[in-house]
Amino acid sequence: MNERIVVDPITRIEGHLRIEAETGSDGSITGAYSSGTMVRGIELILKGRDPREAWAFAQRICGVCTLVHGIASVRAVENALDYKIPPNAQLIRNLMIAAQYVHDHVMHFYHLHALDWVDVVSALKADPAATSQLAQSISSWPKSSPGYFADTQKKLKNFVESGQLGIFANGFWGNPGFKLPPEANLMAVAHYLEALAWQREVVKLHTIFGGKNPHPNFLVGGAPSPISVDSTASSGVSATAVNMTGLGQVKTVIDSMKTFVEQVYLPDTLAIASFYKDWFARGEGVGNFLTFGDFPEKGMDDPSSWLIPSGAILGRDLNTIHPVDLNDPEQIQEFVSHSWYDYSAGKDRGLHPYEGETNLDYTGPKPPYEQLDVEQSYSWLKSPRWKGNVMEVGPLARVLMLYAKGHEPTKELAGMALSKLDLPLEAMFSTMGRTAARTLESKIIVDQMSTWYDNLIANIRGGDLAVHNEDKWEPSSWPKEARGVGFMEAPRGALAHWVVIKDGKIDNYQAVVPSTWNAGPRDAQGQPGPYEAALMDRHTLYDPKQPLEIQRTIHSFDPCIACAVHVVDPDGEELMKIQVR
Amino acid sequence: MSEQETIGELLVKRGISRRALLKYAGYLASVMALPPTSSTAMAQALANARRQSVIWLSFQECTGCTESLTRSFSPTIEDMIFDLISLDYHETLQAVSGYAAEEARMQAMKENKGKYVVVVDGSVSTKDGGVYSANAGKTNLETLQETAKDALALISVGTCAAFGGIPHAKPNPTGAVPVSDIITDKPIINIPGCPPIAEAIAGTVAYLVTFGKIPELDHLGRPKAFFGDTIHDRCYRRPFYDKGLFAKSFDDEGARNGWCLYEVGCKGPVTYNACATLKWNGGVSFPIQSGHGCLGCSEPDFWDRGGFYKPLSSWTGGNAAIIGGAAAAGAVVGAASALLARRRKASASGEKGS
Amino acid sequence: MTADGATPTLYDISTGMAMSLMQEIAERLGILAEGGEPHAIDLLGIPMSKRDRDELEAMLGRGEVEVTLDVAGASRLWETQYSGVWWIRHFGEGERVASERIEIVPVPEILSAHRLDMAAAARRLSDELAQANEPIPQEESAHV
Repeated sequence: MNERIVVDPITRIEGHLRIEAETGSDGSITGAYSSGTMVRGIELILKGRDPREAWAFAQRICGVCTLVHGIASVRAVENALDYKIPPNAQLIRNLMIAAQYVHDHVMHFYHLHALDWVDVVSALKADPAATSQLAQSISSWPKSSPGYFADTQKKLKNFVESGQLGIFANGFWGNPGFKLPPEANLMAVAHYLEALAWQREVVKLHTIFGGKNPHPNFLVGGAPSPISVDSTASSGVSATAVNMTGLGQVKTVIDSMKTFVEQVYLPDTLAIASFYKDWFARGEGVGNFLTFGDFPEKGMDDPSSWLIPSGAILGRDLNTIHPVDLNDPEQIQEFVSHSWYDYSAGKDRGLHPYEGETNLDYTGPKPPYEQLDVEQSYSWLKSPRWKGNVMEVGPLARVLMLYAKGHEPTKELAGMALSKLDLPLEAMFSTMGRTAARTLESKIIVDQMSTWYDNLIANIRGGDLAVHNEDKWEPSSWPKEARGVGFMEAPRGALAHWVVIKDGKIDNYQAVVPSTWNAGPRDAQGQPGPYEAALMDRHTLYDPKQPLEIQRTIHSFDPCIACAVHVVDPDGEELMKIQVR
Repeated sequence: MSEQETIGELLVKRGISRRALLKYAGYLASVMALPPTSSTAMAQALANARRQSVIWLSFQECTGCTESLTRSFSPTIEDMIFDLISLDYHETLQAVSGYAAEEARMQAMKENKGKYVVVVDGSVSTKDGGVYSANAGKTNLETLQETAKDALALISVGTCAAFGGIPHAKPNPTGAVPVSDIITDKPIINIPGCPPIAEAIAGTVAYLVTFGKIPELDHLGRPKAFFGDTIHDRCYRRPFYDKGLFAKSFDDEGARNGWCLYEVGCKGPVTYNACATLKWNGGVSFPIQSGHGCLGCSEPDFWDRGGFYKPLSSWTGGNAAIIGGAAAAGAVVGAASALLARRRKASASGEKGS
Repeated sequence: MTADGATPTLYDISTGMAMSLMQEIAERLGILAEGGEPHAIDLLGIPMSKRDRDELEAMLGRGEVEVTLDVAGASRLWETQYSGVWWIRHFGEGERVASERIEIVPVPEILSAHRLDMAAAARRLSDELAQANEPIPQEESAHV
């Protein structure tokens, strides 16, 4: 007898996600359905506004991967207007994007994902001295004394004894799915807390260049942060934040990021993964991977200078990288066959983002509801496809792409990790492979940050202070009509914004977002999205009331659902309709 | 379950001295513009308080407000979770998903009936019965009404919960409204900002735990301590404004010298927030210091007020005309700031009763 | 720090704030000396340029006492050249100044030990002494 499991809300993610799964009598998942349950309509709100301001609106799509939509938006407008940005602005953007990766990935690992693998209550049974030995055996990170772990344990014990467990209440503690020894659990809890303190420090890179975090500021045509090297840096008050003191802080942040990734995040990932090798054998999505590329050394119009290349991998075939064209109407299309939207040309058509339309059309059950009708529409997410294929985006896609293209540091790092875990490359096509790929790419990217920083400093020393190009700032200098695409690799995967500008105003705006690729529902052909496919790959629930296994695989994608749901309405008309069933 | 311990008892157990509380109380008094002499009484009140049950509801939001809270330096998120509050429901941070998560919310509501605080981030969709935002099969509208019923007070964190924010921007496709449109029979504190400054969220929560009452609010429900002055009033670039020295573009000589950003669209003169004093991320910088004008993000409908890069004189909100006149004429250095200092003290002495 | 006025920086601007604060301090110190209430001035709540702050610090000078605290970050306190006028600077995480105030008071309260802390310390001390007197030697205690 099949059973329907509903997990809503999926916690420790960005946004509102619901998973429904069908299980067989042995608890194995036979069907899975991913539903985004919140919509705001930001792209609809963007219509008619000044394209130079679009970044601020678009950025509010998400406050976790804050900045990615800001970057994609300014790049879209710059692409439409053929607007060049100064080299310093390019370097500043690279540093800010890279800082976002490292911050986001570390926080995901410790604060959003770790509690799927780490049993907090078990940490109370750990021996602090043995924990210290364990920590010192895998890393030279200085915070590893027996006293340090004893203090952490005492803090945890007081907390548990207080009877108010807060965010740890009702945990699946003691579930046999947890495999770490108490000492590894205690070490992970200590690092959970350390990472909270660390992340506060490293976001300062965004604050210096963007004025604040979350939601730092950007500027079409460059960066908004003028460099004031000549002012009195020692006084503590200087003309702008980007002075020698501020740049010194940036350097400190980069060093701190590098140290934390190398001495905490990477060793912890490998240590935890070694206890969960069975999770390298389940949770494969669709075996198709897509990247758009990012981190230009020169400019976005010179793909040869990008750190992360663009391309598509189909059916696990790393020998063939297919080229991707974001402007080709036949390549990227969004479908709404199982989404709460309607298309004027019919619900089963696919539309390229330039032609994209989104007419809210809720046909789901009237809340409160127990279950969605998955034969019909069941999500506020659309289903994007590349040449009709379901594609996975994100860290695993990027690491595979770098590997396939022969990027030496990636091959070396992946080789090291796989040999330590005694696993073949194929093990990467899995839940734990996805999680490990996120760690590996953090190391690859953090290693590049010093180079960009040094280049920025060299430019400044050479007298080049320019961060903004004033040439096309005034709308009077723009063509009557223009359109462009801005893309990037966000921490969660390939992201692109398409903008159509008419008479100085936004005529159409569309974002196709990483979590839409990954979390979208079935398409017209009934092909499941990557979340759904991954959950149907060898998952058996030990206890249906404790959907730990579902949490693990869903979190391995690092969902960002506010990003994934968006709206476009090219006609600007009142097109929403509602049929509550 | 045994009687809960006071915060003072918890700290003694952890070997943390009362000096730490006194130091924090001094900081809190500073950021909340309370009389500096009140810190002793505050430290005592904080020591005697119990960890406050907090239920955090996320609706039409981007999680930026939660992210901001994790950046708080005083108190830190760790200190809050361990010492100050019991965060009994928070989708982004809590360990369990699904049924067990909802059960934790119900349990906290039952055990702390009439005493828990509800924090909301995100607006509430009301159109078509609120189908545009649901959680655990319920609309946000229903969850909010259900959870607020037995709450002590509500805190609307971020401009979306406080004023509707970006979902409420024209044409407001989902009928998004602020919390105060739905809940009218409970005290509500608004802490707007996109997102708000971490220390403003944490400080308000700490005030509530310490005094068991809401701080003094302005006419928009914002704590005067954080929203009592405009950013312009407190801006380190104010002297350039007074001298009539303005950046004309984003990377010109004036911009590099830190001159006033009024002419490139800064909304500091009509925006009430603490960015210029508390600053961001541990006091590192704030938008104007990093070269971009203020967007005005803690004000209602800031998305729809006529353009982030247009000077205020062509803006539709506030006392734009007066500001424009002053900018053109220039003013005497120093006079304005002395006036402000006095105003600040006046507002602080108004708090002496607490 | 150019004096030609071509490109003034914030460093150069003195608003006269230091002098007005000195007057407030003088008035309150007089009240305290005659048995009146202590007083405190929150320096972060007052708009001051770097130069204002330096001026104030120079005018107040240094007196006989200087103390460093290590609790929830560092703190530095000193009595100024005027008895009963204290400068108190608390640092938060890192080296950031979390709060800064002038207190006009005989001794700033944060220097005194609190009754409950003394009670906890007394308990701990007697526990440790009791343990030390036990015949079987103990392992080194964890909270050294």
